[in-house]
Amino acid sequence: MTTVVAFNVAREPAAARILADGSVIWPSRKLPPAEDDHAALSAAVVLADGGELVGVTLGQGDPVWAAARGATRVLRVSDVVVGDDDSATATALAAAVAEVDGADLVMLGDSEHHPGLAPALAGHLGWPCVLAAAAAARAGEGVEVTRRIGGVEETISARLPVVIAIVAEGEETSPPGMKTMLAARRLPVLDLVATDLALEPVPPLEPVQTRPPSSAAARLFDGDPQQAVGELIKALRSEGVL
Amino acid sequence: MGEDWLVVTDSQDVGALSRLLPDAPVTAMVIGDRALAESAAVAGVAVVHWIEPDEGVPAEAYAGAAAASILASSPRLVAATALGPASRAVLGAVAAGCGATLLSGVTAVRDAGDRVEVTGGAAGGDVVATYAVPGRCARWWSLPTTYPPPTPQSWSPLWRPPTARCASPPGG
Repeated sequence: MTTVVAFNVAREPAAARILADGSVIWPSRKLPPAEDDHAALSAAVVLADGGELVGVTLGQGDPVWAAARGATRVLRVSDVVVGDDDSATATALAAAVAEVDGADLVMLGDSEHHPGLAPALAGHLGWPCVLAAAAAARAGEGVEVTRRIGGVEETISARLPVVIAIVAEGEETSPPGMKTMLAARRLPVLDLVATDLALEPVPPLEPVQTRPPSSAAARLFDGDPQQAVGELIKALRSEGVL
Repeated sequence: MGEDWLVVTDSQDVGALSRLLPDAPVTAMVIGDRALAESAAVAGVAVVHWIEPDEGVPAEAYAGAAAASILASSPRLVAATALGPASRAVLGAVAAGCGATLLSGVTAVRDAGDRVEVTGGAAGGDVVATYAVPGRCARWWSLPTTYPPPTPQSWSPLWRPPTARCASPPGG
């Protein structure tokens, strides 16, 4: 029984640089962690329960980030990058997960900007998935997942293997310190390339045209009122309004 | 050319999705109660496939069965909103099942010969991007959660009773 956590596999819009003509430039080296990544990793540490926790990422992922938060080793597909096609990203992740002996539980952040990533990963693995999860715990031979959908709290029992996508309830409260980060650099990282995983080289899907929107995009803050207010304040701060 | 599909797991799905394909005959895959299936049936879709989950079983548990039905039709494209986890689970299984492109935030689709041109928000909606998706297998996308809710004007009086009820057990 091995727990896998996929991290740095979603692009947050804040990382994009948008030029005047509407074209988008994404960082080519390292992606910042997605907003749900820390919650997925925390949940994975609990589920691994002291056992092996393998981090899986792609070319823009930072193995040290996961190692400092509890991953015991990291596997990176270094020549595949996150793109707009969630299924393409999921294909590479699924191939990486298949390299992990005994993997039966995959955790990842349920990115608002890549809503297809977790379900496509489950599809490529041929496993069921539980999405929009708030927390997960071992229960016998399976896992018990809690989540809030439409104001209703659900508890779902799932057998292994399963993919669980976690939604963070807030920002990371206690990130690792410098000493931990330095120690994390010593943890093993296995760098693979797509051909090692028998992945066909597929060029990333690129838009044929981009332009600025004709009007500013509206953003809806819904769900739990307290959390929605927090998100609104965060957005106003990032826009420089507050 | 394969079929175009809408995945419906929420009452807001039908109106939002039918706007994306206003003229094309589409097939709906509904996972939910009978009322949801009937709302899809009166919304202008050509055929409704309906899966009614057992009590206490989340709709996602039927994603595999729903995806298998869709894949059996060699779909051209499959659309869903990102509103419900079950819709996303179905789309993930379909995309994996036929190697389809998977895009989110889509607001418009245009047939362009052997390609489908898909337009939608990128980089969190700060940019409008258009993709030309080639090939003949399923292409699917999800809509933003903020897509306008359905209005009665977008409905048509067409009524087609559900043509199939999939009674497959939850298969993941």
